[in-house]
Amino acid sequence: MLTWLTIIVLNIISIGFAIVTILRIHYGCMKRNHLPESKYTLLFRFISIKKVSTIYLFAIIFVAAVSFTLTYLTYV
Amino acid sequence: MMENPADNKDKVFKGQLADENFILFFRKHWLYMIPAILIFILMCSIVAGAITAIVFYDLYKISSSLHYFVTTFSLIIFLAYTHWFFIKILDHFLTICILTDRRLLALSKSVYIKDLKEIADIGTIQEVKEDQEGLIKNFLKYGDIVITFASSSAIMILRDVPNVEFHFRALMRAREELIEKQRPKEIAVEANPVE
Repeated sequence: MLTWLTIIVLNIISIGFAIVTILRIHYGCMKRNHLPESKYTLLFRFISIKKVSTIYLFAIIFVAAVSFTLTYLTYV
Repeated sequence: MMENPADNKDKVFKGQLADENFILFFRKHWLYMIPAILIFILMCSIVAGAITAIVFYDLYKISSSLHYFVTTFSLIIFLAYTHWFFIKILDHFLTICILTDRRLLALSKSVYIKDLKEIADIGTIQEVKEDQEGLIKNFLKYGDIVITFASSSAIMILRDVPNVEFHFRALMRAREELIEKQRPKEIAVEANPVE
């Protein structure tokens, strides 16, 4: 029970932090700028900030899914 | 990119002046992110290997307090590292250098901690030095731009500039155009002095 509680709390904090970070980036830092992106401004010439944000969110959700699966295998 | 100078206030970026025209902006070269990305890939490989071993050798069936602490501690470390890595990547997008026809703005910002702004009037630039020394820097065409100002002994260093030669030329051209713009007024005042 304690393990489940720990995993749930940790993943809620983690996903919440990721969402806050992404919202802060898009509505706090990037919204006011309309800078034209080019190959000199993108990471590896093709990765934009939107792609990084999407990968970030999916990576955190994936980690949560894996931790839940391992906990399920252990305790159920 | 030349816009109507009358109403350019905050048009392209926050802080743009009404009579200022945006020329270009750039971020640091991607090469400085490579160590962090390689370490993240290595970390993910280790975690994936550990999970595969746990599932393959049925280690998850061992239920003990030590198992609980190891699992929880590993999860906390991996989550913290994943967040740190992605925030570092996002910080890369917030650290930018903007060149306009009047100013050079070096904005160094992070999501939560840092917010530094360095603004230089390109009319006061005395000397610009392009530093592209090294095999990798020459091969990938990136380097540093060192700017010296006429009014003070302060210098401004723009590190890891991608295609450094192009940005060096753009800066020099903007400086020349600003000097050319200011020159006719001085000549006109000298030709027709107020009596």
